[in-house]
Amino acid sequence: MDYDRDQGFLEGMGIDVADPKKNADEAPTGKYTGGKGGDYTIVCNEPSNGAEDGGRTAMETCLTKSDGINVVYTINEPAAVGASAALKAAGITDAIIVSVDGGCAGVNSVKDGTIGATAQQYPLKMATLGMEAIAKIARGGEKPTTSDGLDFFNTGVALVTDKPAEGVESITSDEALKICWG
Amino acid sequence: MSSTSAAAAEFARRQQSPLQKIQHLLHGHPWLSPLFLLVVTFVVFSILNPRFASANAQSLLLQQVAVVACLAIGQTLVILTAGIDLSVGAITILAMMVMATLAADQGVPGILAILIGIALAVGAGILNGILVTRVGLPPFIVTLGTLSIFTAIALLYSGGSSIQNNRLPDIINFTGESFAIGPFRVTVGVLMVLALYCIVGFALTQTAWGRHIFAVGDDAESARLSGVASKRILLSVYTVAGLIYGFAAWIQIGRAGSATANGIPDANLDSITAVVIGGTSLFGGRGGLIGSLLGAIIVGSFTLGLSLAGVDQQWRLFAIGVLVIVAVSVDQWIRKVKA
Repeated sequence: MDYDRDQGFLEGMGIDVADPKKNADEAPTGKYTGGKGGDYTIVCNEPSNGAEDGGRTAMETCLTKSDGINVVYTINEPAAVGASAALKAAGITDAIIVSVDGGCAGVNSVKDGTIGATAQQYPLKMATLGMEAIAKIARGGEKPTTSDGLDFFNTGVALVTDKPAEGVESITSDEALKICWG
Repeated sequence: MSSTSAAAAEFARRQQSPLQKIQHLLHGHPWLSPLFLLVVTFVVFSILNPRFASANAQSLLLQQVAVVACLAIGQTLVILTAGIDLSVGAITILAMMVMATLAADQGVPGILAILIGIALAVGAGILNGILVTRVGLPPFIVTLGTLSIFTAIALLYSGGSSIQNNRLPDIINFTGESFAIGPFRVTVGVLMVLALYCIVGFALTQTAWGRHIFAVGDDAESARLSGVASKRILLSVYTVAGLIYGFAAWIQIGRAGSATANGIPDANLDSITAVVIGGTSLFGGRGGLIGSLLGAIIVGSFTLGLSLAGVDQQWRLFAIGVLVIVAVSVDQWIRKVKA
């Protein structure tokens, strides 16, 4: 899962991911094609254990490598909260943090500005549809089908942000709070 | 008669080889090996990436190792008595969740929540101590069991949720406040840990209690026969360790900006690593507190230094593992010193 999310973020930015099953193998500098395009520098790639103090330590390590960080991607929202604390301690206020999960705590982080945007997933839908499919099969019905072009059934993802960008669909944090999990 | 005393005098006068001189020196001053290692580590990583030596990086390093260094104080005391404490992380998390839940959900005033959390940690330490002294179980087994018990209690009490610092009163977040001392940024938590080292270090080296801890660790039976209340010393060690873990919980909340039952997953092993690298013998009776602080900083330096040098994360784990084995091997060699 960790390389899926990491490489997904990079693909969204339009950065060449080299081997999509491996983290940290991208070229450290180059051009990205997402949005208006431009030059990028990957400063660091650090493990965070998906937790606040791991996120903070990872962000601090990144900050010792470079002072000019303006975009941070984290694997989940707790790590983003830790990263945000580290940025604040270092006096950096204009970096954008993006993350994944969209749990209610995470959406609140988007609302209070800690996280710039997060990808919201719907585990409750996965569980409900999964159980319905099992019940159907048990009663002799047919197996569920995978979504077009994918090898799994897509229960959907939405980008949650209060600063929508042109050309990227998103929902606001208030809308996300109505359908968040956890 | 005279030939044996002559032989003894000969032995005392013998010329020691340089290696034996070093062995003696390290035996008398156990903190010398980690100090030497720390200096080498600092020089090597500074060469690999000069940013390592910057005041900013070193300040962050201290902040990153503060909690483990604090836990290592309690762990050092326990290991000095030839015991081991595997419930370190669990007690800290229990205290952390209780402090945070009381303050955020039950509206308990901050300072009271902190005191209750620390008192709970002390209680947990007393439980460990009683199981070791009264029931007579080996510390490894006791703390292995209490590790699960305290973790479960913490999860049950907190419901597995995490509490962000914006819901906590200022006094609890106080340990995360940072300010500048010259070019360094330190947090209140870091200063608290250093103060604890001074206080416990003083007690360990300058009081009878401290001497008795070394005696009990070296040979509990001989200590008892010499008039040391071994069982009471052991109980007091686990109790004081619990107190230290309570403070560590307060410092951890400040550091992480939240109280979560999933925090500090490697606390147990990290604290033991710091103690072992710091020159305290796992077999008890020899070592010291300052070594554990150096040990914690060394482990932190490896993590930060290797990362700044662009080395993959897995190699950092490998390096620390090698370090631990080397440290224990050196300890074994030092133990063989001949008077």
